[in-house]
Amino acid sequence: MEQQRIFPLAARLKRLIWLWATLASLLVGSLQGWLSYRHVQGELADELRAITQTSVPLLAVALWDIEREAVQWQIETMAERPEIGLVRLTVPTGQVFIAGDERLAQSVVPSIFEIPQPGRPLNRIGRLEVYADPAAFQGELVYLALSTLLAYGLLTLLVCTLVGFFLRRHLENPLRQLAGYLGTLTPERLRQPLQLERPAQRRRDEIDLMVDGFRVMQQTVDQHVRHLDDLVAQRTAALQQALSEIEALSRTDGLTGCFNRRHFDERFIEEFDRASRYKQELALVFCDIDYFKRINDSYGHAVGDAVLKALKTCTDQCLRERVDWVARYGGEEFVIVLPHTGLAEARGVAERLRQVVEKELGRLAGLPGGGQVTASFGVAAYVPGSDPGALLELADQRLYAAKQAGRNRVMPAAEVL
Amino acid sequence: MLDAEFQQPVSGIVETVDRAQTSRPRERYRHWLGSLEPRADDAGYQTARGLIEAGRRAGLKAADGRLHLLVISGDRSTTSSIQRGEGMRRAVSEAGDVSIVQEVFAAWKREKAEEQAEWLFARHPQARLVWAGNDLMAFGAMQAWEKRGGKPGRDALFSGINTSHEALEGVRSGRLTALSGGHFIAGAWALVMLYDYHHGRDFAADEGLELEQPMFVAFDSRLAERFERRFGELDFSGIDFARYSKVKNPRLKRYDFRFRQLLD
Repeated sequence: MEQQRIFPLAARLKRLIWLWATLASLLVGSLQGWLSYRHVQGELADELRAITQTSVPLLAVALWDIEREAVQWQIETMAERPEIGLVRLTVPTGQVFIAGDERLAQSVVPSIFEIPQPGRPLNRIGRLEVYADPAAFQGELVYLALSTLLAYGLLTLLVCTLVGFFLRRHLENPLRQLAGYLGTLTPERLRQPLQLERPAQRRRDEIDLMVDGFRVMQQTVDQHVRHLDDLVAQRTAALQQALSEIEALSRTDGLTGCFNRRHFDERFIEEFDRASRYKQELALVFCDIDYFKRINDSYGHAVGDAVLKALKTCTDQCLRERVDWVARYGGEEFVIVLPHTGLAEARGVAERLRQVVEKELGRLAGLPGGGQVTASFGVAAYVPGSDPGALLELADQRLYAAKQAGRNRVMPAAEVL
Repeated sequence: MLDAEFQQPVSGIVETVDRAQTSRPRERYRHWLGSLEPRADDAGYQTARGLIEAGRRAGLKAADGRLHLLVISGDRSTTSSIQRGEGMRRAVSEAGDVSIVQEVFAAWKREKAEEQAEWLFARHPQARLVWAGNDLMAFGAMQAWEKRGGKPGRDALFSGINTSHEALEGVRSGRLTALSGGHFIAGAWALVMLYDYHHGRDFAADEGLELEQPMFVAFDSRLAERFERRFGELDFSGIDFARYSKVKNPRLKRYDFRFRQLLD
């Protein structure tokens, strides 16, 4: 699976927070800006009023005492204040005092104060017009706006940075570790419990839950895998078992337990080839139950089968285990393969077998009335330069000869073919 | 040093704080022998009284049946200003039918008095009497009245203090209703005292260390003319000050420094 590009969680969240925090800041900032605007307006108006009200008593005295310089100085001091742009004092007798920027009279609405006569507050001796200086107002606003912006900006920056840092540390990091672990997970590593590197001494959280859950899953999967392994092993064993049974069945004669004709055909070729390759001896003995048909007809098939089975028992007695082998060639005809056996020895074996058969077979088969069963044997041995068919043919021929000679005897082949 | 109009002689010491610094003559500063002051109260009283009597005669009462008086004083702190004002107030209270509608302070200046008078006339339209602490302020007020189309001495009366040529002329022409003066010569009187002191007649024995003497004279038209004639050139060499010396006139018990006698 090709690696797709990763967009870190923390970066995305930071972007989102930036966006929303900025939006929120703008919104709140606008609101605050509007409130500040009103506030500044109010404050400046208050300041203006305060300044004027401290000046009014002095002005009143100076006006009453007709001290022109004092009056002028007073209003000039007032006009010097940054909040105040223009001051105009008019007296009922017509005189006018002015301090500040006269152009403001056109653009700014003044606050108007009456100057009372000292001692006779109801009598008005002057009228004071105070014009606020717009520059002060604007300056104040700009300052407020900038400081607000700065504050919010810094705050947002701080928050985003912190969020990013903590996200990376506490979320991104464990998740990446987990992803890395999972990416390289193999069935062997399933055994090792998942271990994430996290800052020490913290309380359990969802990541821990996830790790726990993962470990449980690990165990479960591991158990399951092992279970499956066992299962597979079992099945394989069973299968192998079955296979060998089938194999055994395929080469065994069901009734007698000898090898069957098919197996003989295959194996004999191999035995023959081996003998010829390694220059070893190989003998073949054909064996045929005498008068089998008669036994079958007289005593029934059951007995007939018993006779055949009993023959296997006899051969078992005489033959070398695992070296010599017997195959049921036909109905009552058997062939015995004797590897590493020469003609003379094979003949001896056949003779011994004949005797056993003669003595034991009837009894073994449970022949009623203790009847006797005999067999005829034809023996041939491998001769270098010949082929399996020839050997077979020869042994068969000798069997025929044995039958012809009166049965119940062993007829070996002549020494030389 | 005595400066006729503006500055106080050193002995105008009223504040305890100041007194603590200077002490009395011949105490801390042993060459400071004494002090002589004109009795400024007289100037205020004389001019106010003259003004009020003239105002009654001219029928310049306000709607409430009283004479409304505007006061233009020199300053709030100097002794001469304060005492002149006290004299004026004494005359006012004696008169009984006078109201001081407002007092302002024009710092002895003509221009300032003129401007203030403008305001005052507008503020107090029924006032017809103006008492000024000196001659310049009186002239300023008169100018303001003339600017309003009035005639000083006729529809409004003015008083002042000092013997400037303009002031005496004003008295003679009738523009200035009341005038007091004659204190400028206090220096000469002081010399008389010193002469006596140096010739054995110490003033401290009879009169004390710090003297206040009546000197002011109220000038009417006649006296004004006489003053102009005799002293118009400010030549006082004709006066024989020996007449006023105690050494020269052993029978003289107390000094008499009234200016009036110089006009006889």
